[in-house]
Amino acid sequence: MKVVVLAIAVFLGGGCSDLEGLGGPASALVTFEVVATGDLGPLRPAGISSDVSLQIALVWGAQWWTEPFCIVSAESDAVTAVTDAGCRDPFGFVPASVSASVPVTIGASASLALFALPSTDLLVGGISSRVGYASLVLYDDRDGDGTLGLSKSHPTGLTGRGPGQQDTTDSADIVYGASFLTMTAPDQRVAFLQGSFDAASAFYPREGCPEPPDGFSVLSAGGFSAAAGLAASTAGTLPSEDPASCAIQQQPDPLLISIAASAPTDVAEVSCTESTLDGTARYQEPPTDEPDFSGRVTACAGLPSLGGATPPNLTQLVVSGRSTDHCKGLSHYVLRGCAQDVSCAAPDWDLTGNPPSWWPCN
Amino acid sequence: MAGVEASQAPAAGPLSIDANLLLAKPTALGPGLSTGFGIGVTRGRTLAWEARASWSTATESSISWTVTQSDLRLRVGAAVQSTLGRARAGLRVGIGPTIIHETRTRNQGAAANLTGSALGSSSFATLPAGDVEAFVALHVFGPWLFTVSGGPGASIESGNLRGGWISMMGVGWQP
Repeated sequence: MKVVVLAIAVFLGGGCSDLEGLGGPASALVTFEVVATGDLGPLRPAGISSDVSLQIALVWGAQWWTEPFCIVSAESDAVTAVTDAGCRDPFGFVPASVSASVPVTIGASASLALFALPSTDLLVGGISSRVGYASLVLYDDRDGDGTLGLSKSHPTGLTGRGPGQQDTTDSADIVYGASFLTMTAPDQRVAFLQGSFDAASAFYPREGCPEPPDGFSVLSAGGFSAAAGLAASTAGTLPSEDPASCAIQQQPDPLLISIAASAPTDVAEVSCTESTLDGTARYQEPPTDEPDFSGRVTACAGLPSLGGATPPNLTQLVVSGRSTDHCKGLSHYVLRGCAQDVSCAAPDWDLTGNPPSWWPCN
Repeated sequence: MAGVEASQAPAAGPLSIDANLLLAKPTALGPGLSTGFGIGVTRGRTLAWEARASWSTATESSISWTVTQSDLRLRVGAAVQSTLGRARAGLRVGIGPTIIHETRTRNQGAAANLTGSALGSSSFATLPAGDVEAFVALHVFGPWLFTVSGGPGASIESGNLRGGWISMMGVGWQP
């Protein structure tokens, strides 16, 4: 009888449960404490008197090489003008994907939490040794979509191209700063490492600094000069950071990042994606009618060489983006060649004997 | 005569024991299929009493979590049964607690070096529950039986009634 009473008590007394199953809130994988500093008033572009929604976005970086034209010695003032107008910082941070975005107030700390690891296409390296870096970007969400809009350059001659090569509109968002803008200035970057770190990795290198720890961390470095970076690239080595400028923050310590507000014209590139990541230039056939080059800077130049195969003895017309574009970029025209290889043996076009009447590079 | 003997159950006592593989709807997890095993003892003729225990486990994932729930079902109840040739068929009702152990692991948490409750948690719950099963026990060889059963079940979690089902297949022994 006692057993029956006990069984009934157990049966009736149950029913309360702390089970969560597949529901319940997901815990953040990592949380960064971010502070934006500075006065945006004098930094706002003309015609902008207030912010729509000031936010901080975590932007994972892409592996990108600049095209050779932008780093070889300029052969003329005209070429220098084109590179100034059309080449982005060869050591700058290039965004690949925006991961998270939170509202922020200048001078107040904001918590930015990540609920997912960066996808593998954002990591560089093998499965046992891969790393990704991110920059925290301070921006005004002018279009109100809750995330940082990335933009692309606007090369000429995109009309009629296939999918993925159509011209796009610039984002209305205004960038005011980034924790990691370029390797030639002090930076604070978010790092995510899986496995061991490859010290020979040239993906946003920090030669001379301690290796990042496994998982999430915040790394600091003082930066190296552009001259040192180019010299190291020529020598096949990595430019060195000042070890005294290096720092690492890792969990469970708070991960603190500070972003100083800057003029949008100085930091806009951090939101500019690149269509071509491997440094190759896309060459175009000059059209019969002169393209609209208004607002762009043009120059005639030889084909650049970084010491490999000798390029064809051709003169190219290089065209910068428009001065009003959000992102810098270049367009290349040659009289003979193929789109992906100006040195191709069987050119897709050859106008060397009959160039268009407007062709300026004779 | 040999054919008649083959179609009739051998003389057997009132006690039978069975052990089964189990498939069931997880008691509290929601989606998924819980797999495990169960044992039971039955005593009686047309009207019999029963005691059963079964354990099964199910694992399911969402974007954020991987959850494993193990269900331990303890039942006492009664059965109404009848002999049909070499088989014994009937209906049984059992009530009792279902003890659930849940482990939750945050997906990607280990790669992000999460620890403690941020990485995962475990908890127990005891829910009142009951099952109604139709069953067939077929005499195969001597006292050995092939058993199969299945039917709906229900449990009460935080005042809410949860429906379910359970099915088993295994062997029995009825001397």
